[in-house]
Amino acid sequence: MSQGKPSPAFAACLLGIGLIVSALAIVASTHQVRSDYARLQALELERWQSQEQYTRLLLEINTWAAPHRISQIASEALFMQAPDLSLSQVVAE
Amino acid sequence: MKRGAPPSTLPRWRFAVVCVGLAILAATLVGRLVHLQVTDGGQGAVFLREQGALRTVRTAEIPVYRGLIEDRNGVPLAVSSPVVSLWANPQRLKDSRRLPELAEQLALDADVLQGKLNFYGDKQFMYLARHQTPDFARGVLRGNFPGVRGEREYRRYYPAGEVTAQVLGLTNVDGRGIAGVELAYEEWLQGVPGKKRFIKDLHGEAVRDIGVVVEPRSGNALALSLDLRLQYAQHRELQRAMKETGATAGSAVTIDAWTGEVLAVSNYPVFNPNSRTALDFGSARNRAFTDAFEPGSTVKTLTLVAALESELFHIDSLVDTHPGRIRVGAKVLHDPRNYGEISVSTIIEKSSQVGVTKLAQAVGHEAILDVLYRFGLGEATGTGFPGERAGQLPDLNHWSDIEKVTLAFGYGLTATPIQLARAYAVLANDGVRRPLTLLKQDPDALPPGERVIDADIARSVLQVLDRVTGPGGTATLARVPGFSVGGKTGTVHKVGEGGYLDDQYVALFVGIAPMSAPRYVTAILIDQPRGDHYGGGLAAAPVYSRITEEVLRIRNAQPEQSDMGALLAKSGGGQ
Repeated sequence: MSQGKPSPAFAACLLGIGLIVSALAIVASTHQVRSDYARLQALELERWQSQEQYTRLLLEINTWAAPHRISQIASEALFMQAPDLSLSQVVAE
Repeated sequence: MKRGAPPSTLPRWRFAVVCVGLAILAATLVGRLVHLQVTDGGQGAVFLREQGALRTVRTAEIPVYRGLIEDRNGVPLAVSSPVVSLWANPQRLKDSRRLPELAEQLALDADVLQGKLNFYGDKQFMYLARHQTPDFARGVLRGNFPGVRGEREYRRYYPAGEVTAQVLGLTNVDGRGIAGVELAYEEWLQGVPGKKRFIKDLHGEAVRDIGVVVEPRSGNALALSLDLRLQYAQHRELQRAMKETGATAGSAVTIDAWTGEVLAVSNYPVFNPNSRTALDFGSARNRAFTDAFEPGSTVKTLTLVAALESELFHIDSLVDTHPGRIRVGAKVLHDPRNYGEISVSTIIEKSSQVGVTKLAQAVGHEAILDVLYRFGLGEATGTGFPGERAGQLPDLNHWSDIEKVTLAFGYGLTATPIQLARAYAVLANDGVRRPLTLLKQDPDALPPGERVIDADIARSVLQVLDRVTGPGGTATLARVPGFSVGGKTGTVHKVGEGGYLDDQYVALFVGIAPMSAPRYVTAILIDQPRGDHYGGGLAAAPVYSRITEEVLRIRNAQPEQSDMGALLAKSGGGQ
């Protein structure tokens, strides 16, 4: 028997340790996947809620700034009107 | 002191047999376990896993955000907003004592809800209320009614409402485009819905998500060539004209001749795209694209092009229209009065039937038909708008004398308002025809145009169109203060049973502005204006004027007329 070769018992022991380590690694990575997935779910929910808020604000700003509303307020509340041509002036660029 | 057991007298082989027997049993069990869990022998591991999954694992769709549609300045025109659809498992809900409470929250009649639940009693899925606002849905879900769940979806909102309704079109309740731009660019807007797997419990409720199978990909945003401010102004003026003229329908379309972009397009009647309950598909039609009419006198401009190309005429050549009527075949064509000897330009200014007939007879119908083809009549404009009509040019084996002539003033062929606008855009674009588009274009990367007439001829025709809105022309009401504009009116008898109707008209006007740098082409169509103001010059031209005033203001065109110049000189030192 040469000096370099480990005994069968040592090899079995090594394999056993390897087995336990890999088993623990599987447990750890499964846990990691689950917690990451939970985080993803939470972030997706957050994205959903942010998007909900964003589109609501987008619709709101466009309702307030709708051309017909602006022209109505300009003419009825602020008594504005488009200037007559005789009052207009072209500014050279 | 205890005595030990007497030494066994049984033969040793019996012990060995029991041991072997037990070992065989153990080995059988292990073998069966290996067979079931590791190897796959038809009824093995794969089979069992599949059977387990069939009972617990489900795949659900992850909804994706449909792309935003914006106008050319980035103002949103169609927005997908998250909503929640409430659904129930009828098997669990139908016998609940809390039904009346749920019905009240959903503003439904309790009996109706009970009836619906009984109808779907043997199913596991039934919609209670689709597309509810998230706040409302959260309120209902907080009640923890048995079997009631929420499903996330998107709903399409159109902030500009009826102003952009017919161009944008609609999506169905499942978020797919079914009309207009929504349908034309469905692929681009739609995105790819994702898929995820989850484990469900006995009641079909999700216990745990396993993972995403297909990553969802949101739809892309689409920038249209429309300008919402312009679109609004055009819409407002068209609706006003409809009220004033009592017409049954109308269309207006404004295009940028230099780029081929459609800047605004509106129609009457209109519909509200945000409410589906009273949707009438007649009003949902984008008539400017889908309804073809006989274009009438607006085609005389193209006859003029054919006349100038023939080199038999130039715009100042004189044509004798005496005595104000002309016989063609069995028909006599009249002018309103005897114009006598007038120039080719005046023929168009006055829209003289007799003059145009003489031009048509001189150049022949083939030449006119050729010009109509080159100006894009009889072919689609290139927008790809769903349901767009290409109109029709006559394709006759035998042309009667009257047919050869009526072609020259726009009868016997059909065109849509957008096609008319595109034909006039050729003139505004120095004789180059461009494909039209509803998408915002990069001014440095325009698709190449095609030269269809000589630039000199285009300029001569513009000069004539300029005079149509001048003193003595048929369209003085089309004028816009501060700018010179050109265009051509058209008044067409509608076709009914048994031929042309004497009392029903279509009023048309197609105009180009500003004449100093011709760029914006607007076509107006008013279908069946009532009263005395039924002609193109009286019903359609004023609408053109009001719309074009807004076009030029919004697009920052520089006023050009002399009253402005005087003011400039006067106000040199400021006011």
